[in-house]
Amino acid sequence: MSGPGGVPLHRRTALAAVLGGLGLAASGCLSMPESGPVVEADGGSTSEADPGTVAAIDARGPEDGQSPSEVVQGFLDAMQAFPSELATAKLFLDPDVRSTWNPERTIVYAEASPPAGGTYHQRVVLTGAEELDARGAWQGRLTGTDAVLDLDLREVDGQYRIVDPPDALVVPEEWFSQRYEQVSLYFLDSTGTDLVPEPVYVSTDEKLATALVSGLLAGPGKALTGVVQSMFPEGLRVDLSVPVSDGVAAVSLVGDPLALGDEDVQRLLSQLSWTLGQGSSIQAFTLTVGGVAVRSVGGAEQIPVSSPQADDPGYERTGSTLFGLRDGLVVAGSPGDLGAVDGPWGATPADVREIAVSLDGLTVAGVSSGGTALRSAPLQQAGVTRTLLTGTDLHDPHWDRLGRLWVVDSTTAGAVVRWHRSGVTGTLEVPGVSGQDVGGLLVSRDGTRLLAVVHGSRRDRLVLARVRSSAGGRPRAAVAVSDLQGDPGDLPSRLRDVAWTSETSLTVLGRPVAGSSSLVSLGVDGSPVSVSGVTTAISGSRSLLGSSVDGAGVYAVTRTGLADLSVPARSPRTSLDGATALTYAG
Amino acid sequence: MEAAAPVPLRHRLRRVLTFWRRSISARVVGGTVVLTVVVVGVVGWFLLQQTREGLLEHRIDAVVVEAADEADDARNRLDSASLSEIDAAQQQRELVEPIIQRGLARDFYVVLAASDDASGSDPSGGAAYTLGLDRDSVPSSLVAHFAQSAEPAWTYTTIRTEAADGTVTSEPGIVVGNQLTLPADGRSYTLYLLFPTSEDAETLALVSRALLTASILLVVLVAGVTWLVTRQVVTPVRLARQVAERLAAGRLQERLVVSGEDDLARLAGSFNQMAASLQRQIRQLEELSRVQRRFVSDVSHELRTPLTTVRMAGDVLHDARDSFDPVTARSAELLQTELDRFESLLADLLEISRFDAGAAVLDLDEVDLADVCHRVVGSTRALAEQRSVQVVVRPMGGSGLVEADVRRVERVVRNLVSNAIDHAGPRSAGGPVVVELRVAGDEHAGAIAVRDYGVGLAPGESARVFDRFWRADPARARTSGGTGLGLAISLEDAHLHGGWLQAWGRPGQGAQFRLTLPRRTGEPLRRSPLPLVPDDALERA
Repeated sequence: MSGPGGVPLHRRTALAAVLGGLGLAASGCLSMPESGPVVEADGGSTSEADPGTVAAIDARGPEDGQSPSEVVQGFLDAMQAFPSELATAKLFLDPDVRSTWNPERTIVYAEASPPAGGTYHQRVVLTGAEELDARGAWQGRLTGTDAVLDLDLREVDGQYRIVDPPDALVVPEEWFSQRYEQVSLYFLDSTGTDLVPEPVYVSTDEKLATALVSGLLAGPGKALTGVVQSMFPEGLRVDLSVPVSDGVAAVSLVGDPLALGDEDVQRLLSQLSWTLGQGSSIQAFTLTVGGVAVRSVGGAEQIPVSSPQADDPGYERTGSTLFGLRDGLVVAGSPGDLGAVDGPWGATPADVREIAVSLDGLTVAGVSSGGTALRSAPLQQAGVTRTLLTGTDLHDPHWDRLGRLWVVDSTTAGAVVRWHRSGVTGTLEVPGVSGQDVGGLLVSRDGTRLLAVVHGSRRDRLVLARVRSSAGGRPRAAVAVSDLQGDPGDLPSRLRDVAWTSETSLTVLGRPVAGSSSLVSLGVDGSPVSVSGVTTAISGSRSLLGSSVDGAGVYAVTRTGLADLSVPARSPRTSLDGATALTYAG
Repeated sequence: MEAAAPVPLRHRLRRVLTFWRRSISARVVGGTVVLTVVVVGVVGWFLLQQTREGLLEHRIDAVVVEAADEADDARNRLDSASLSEIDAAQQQRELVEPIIQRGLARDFYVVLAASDDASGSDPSGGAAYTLGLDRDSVPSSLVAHFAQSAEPAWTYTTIRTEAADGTVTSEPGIVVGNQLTLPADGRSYTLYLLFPTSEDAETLALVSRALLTASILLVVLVAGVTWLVTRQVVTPVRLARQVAERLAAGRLQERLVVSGEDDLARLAGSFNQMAASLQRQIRQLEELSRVQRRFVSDVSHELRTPLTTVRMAGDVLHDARDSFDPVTARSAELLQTELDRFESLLADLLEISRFDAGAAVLDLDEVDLADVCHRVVGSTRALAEQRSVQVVVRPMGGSGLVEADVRRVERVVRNLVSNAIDHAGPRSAGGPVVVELRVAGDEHAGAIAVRDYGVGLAPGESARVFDRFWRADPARARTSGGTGLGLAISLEDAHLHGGWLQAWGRPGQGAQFRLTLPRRTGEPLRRSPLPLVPDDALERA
């Protein structure tokens, strides 16, 4: 403040001007940067997959100078990459076919011969080859030329490359069984009230949900028209994939938005709910079709998955209850603890030799001692006995969920498959079964599968037929009849009995050879199933006792009692207390 | 600038500068405002920088996480994709479409391009991106990064978009890249998400505006407060200045108004005490001076009458000395001489007391200074001859005609000449003893300089020679009839004319006295026609 001369004044003025300018610059020109160096973001997000129970396999690409057989072997090895990817396998292909090679089927082989052949042609012979279709449904065994891979090669830039790759993923059985599992696609029966499982094999990696939804969208196939139906309209396609995050599967479908009523939407959601419910990591799902979110009846966008058990109203009542006859009376309970029922047949002997309890647990049906009549009475409540139908030699009565009672009548002209429902009776012509010597019949709970043990002259057959019904539930025809075979040699030539072990698997009991009867597990699609813990041979058993309901034990009925097949064969047997004609509901 | 600036502006500028020089308030307020602006500017700049850094950091964290989430989701979806999908373009489209949809909802833009292609200059196309986005918005540096590294990275960019109507907008933004692999073709693709930062820019602008407004208000407030405070301090100071000016002008009765008990009030009290003390002492001095002058005047008058009687008696004795014995005759002569001295001393005292009483008046007439010199030389010739001193008059050019009281001018010159004869010496060793009178004049003034070559004056003596009864050498005997009041009276005479009487002297070089009179009495004197320091002295020096 000293020296008020002219010079300091000028200096101050300039200083003030500069500061003012700075202030303006500070306030007006401060803005967000528009360029700068590239900065690597730390903590790169590596999506951690669950540490799986199987080894991950990193495929190895082709190397320069490989011989034709090495190229073919490398191609086969590269297809075993896990988690699955085909980019490496494609490197073994001629560039012209790389972009179009799209293996939809899967060929599973027990053993493959080393590639052999000339420079431009290699042959691989597969042993024990089985085929799965695009959905993963078991298609049966490959034999003859189908089990041979003939691969042409060509030189591309001095390297051998495969020109005609098979339209299938060719993988070894061991690899397959570790990484694929059998699950079911749930379709609706003809009445639209019940869900019917169609078994398929899918990879257990992240692609499980995508595969399940894709399978559902593909539908049950033409052969099963009238047997099962899908609520998904045609023309829908999975949009890229069905990612699962935090237990929620986001199902996004490309196509026209749904034009369905509330009930049909509910059925469609049930299909998805049951199907996706098999993925252990999936707790709920969301569905968008053509960009429109589909909501449940409750309005929720996120729909929890469900399971057949949770949705089956009869499960609690009759799921694992055993029924049988003792001193002519109908008894019910658990093995070793059977008591007479409250209904009329529990009080007075009903004069029946075989019984079947309806899946709702309300009605019991029985074949009269002579096998000429099929009668029914309330199981636990008071009521009268009614005769439903009469025949020559009725046996193997079974209920399905639609309330249809199936029975085989072994007439002199061969077996006749008959049914009764609400006072209406009918006969279903089943090719390969009708007119044959039928030793036993099984009906799936949903009523779409009939399984018959047909005695042949040289060997017995296990015949599966699908039941085509009207929308009202009246059986129309048996279609898609096939013999279930499993692995060659597995099935005994003479069959004694067959029982459900789940919705999609069976156990077959052969006639005893040298005192021991063999037990074979089969899928309902005929695929060999190895059910862990199930005894493969048992002595002295006459019949099987099983149910497709989870938790119901599978037993072999022997002279001394019930042998639980899920425990080692030497375990003590449960006494029958004189009960006969043991059965589960259905 | 000076040439271009109009005169009024310069004038105004000068007035502003004058105001600035004279006003403490203006300088304090100005200085405080400048200081406040500096501080506020620095603080504001710092705050804005911090705010900007904070906003950016927060935003980058958020967008990097969001991009990583999107990439994770995309990878998850790709991992779940069916192996049988082989149409890479479709897979790319299906992958990016939901991300673009989310981008529209959450305000970010999406580009999915093959990593080995430059997104903007991709000749084969193939990038899937948000409609309307200019793909050049992804900087080539980031594209180059993904050609080498798979690590996620981000950078700043300018996002350019074109609306449906063709208007192009560009805004600052952050672009984050994450690399993915499409299973359909096994190639690497980069998912660029572009997040605009215009919202943050708006926030920043808001903060800037708020800060600017606050700063301006703060500066105004500080300026106002400073002005008020300085006014509190400066106003009493200004009043004190006014009172001091009045005191200086002789209005000794002026006092400050004392109000309150603060420092300024005590300052005013002290000031008033000082003024009162000064006034009292000045009054005392004035009174003392007046009493002294009166005493001198009275003493002089009272001495005249007895002196006249003594004079008459002395004359009788002197006339009759021849009849006395030699010793008595000598006493009578001495008596006569001392009576002469006594008379002239008394006359000088009376003259001085007339000056002191302010009773001296001028009897003006046209006087030629050269004539005055000649007359004085004539009247002092006897004394000069007695001392063998040669007195010469040297006209130095110009007319020596002035308006003056001839009696007083003659007295002054006679005083100077007799004084010079008293102290004269030879100009050069062995040469004649000379006293020179120089006369000169111009249109404003006339001057007479009396030069001798005696012992000269010691340093500091030239100012004291005009003091009353002052002697250069107190021990030196008075050889001339000087009373010790001659030069004092001469100075008073010169002052009475509005002229100057100045002395110059140097030991061994003699002295020079210069009388300068204005041509018209009352006209201010600016310069003398003759130099005070003689030329010969300069030559010798």
